[in-house]
Amino acid sequence: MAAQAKPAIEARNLRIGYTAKGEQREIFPAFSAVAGEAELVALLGRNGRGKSTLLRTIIGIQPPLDGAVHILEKDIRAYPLRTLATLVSYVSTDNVKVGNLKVFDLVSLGRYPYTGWFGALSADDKKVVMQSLAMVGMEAYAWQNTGCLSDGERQRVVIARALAQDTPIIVLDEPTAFLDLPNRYEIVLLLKQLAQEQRRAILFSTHDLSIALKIADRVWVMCDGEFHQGAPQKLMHENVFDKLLQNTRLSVDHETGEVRVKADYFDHPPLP
Amino acid sequence: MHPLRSKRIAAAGVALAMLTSALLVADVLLGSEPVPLSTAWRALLGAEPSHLSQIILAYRLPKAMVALLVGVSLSVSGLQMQTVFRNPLADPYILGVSSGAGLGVALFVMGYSVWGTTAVGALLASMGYAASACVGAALIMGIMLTVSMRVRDIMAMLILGVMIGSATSAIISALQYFSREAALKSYVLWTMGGLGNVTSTQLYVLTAVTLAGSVLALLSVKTLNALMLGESYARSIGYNVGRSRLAVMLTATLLTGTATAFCGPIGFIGVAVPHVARMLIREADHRYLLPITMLLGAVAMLLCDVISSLPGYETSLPINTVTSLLGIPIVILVIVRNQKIV
Repeated sequence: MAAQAKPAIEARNLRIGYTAKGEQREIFPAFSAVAGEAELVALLGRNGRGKSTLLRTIIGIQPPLDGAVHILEKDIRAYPLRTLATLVSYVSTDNVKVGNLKVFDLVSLGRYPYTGWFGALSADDKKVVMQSLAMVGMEAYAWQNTGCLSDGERQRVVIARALAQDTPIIVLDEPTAFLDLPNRYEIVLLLKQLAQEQRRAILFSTHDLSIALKIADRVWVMCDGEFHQGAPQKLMHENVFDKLLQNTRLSVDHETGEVRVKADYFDHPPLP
Repeated sequence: MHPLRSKRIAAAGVALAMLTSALLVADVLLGSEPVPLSTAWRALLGAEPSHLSQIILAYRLPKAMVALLVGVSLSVSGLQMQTVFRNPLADPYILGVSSGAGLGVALFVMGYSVWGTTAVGALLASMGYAASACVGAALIMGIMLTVSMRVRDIMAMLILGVMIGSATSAIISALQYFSREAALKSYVLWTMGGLGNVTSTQLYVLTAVTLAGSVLALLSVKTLNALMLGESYARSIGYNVGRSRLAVMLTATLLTGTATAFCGPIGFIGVAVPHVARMLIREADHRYLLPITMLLGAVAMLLCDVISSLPGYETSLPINTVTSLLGIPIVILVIVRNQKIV
């Protein structure tokens, strides 16, 4: 499936990092990667390896040091901001607790690229907002305050906001953080369903290795300056995930994709 | 659209508009010498022969108008600053923008006395006051905007605002030390603040700027909503965050600068009124919040003015005393509840 999908996101010799006072600070060396239409892509990597920086570069908030990001086979820098907003939506790790903000209003922010100066919603816009809430199973909460939601519910609502933006590409930064185990699976399964049924390209970063391996169509791995990508089984075969867990007291089961604590864990040093 | 929502907010709007009118009338009637409604009406029609006619037309009515306009200006810029800085305690006074306006006025007043009063007419002088206050306010606003791009901490921003306010006061004190007596006197009078010292020319300038600023603010409601969730979300729905923030803050600067130019620095209206508006309508959407904040700002400032004129007494309280006593409990309530409002 991954092979014949049309490319939605492409990183071409992309080198990411920051430029401060004329000096480049590289976060990750140049690599190329692709995410196709209707694909659920999980971005894996240890803390501080540049996952968030990569996502910010892919949605165009941060300029690359080198190389380019292509969105639907065109350089992201060629799109005006308003057009880009109709192609790529983003779910950040930012706290969206705003007092008195109704779920409906939060989700309707996704319609902003399509509304006029006053932000007034047309009947169609309202329908899209309610449909987006229905897709994440939150339509009953439309008139609740966002402040009263649980972490899992709030995550669904911010995903609904991205859905309401009606873009072929959705990028999410750690959508499963702060969630309990069933909710982690639920959110990733929801993303999978949205990718498959609506043919959207969905890229999300996560630390849930086994969930990603079980559900994602493709995995991007940032690991000690090396970038790997491909179907989970292929990367498993290439021992990429063993590299990811190198120098830890964990290993990954090549059959099931489950993370295991090594039997002789007392003999291994803890993480520095 | 939620079925009851627009009705509920419209009802609040109508009630506040009626309250504004009632307070406007009360503000004109009450004072050291209370005036009956019939007398005030005759004075308005030019049919009141007594000295009360003069009091109403030349003093109380302009003062009430100033209260209304300044209340709207400060509350709107308070709401804009709370959203742009994503800080529930931001307002022109706390973040030092009013002090910046004061610095502008100080430089103008002291420079003005050097040029001499005959050189410029009353309108130009009024506009000079307003313009120099706006430049001073813009300077501090620029500093705060730049800093806020690097400092995300709400408390750090507030402390910085206090520091900038103190630094500005220090500069002004130094200026006063070197300025002539007449200029010093007019500046000290200005710092005490007051709604009653506004000349009719100044009232025209204040009215024009408040109207223009309010229209600009109403045009920016969508931008304010977009900025509500923070930079990356605003950007992802197609907003150039830097430009949007700058546009909103220009309006806030214009409103704060002009209001401060003519009435001195007035505290706690800007920070408190948007919170009362939120408590009242329980909405975060600026399409509702901004108009309600405007009306509530007018109500709050008129109420403060009614209280400050102490009906039946010869003297009146400084307006800042009243705004502080009414505003500070609301600020404390916000801190105690510790809810993330913006």
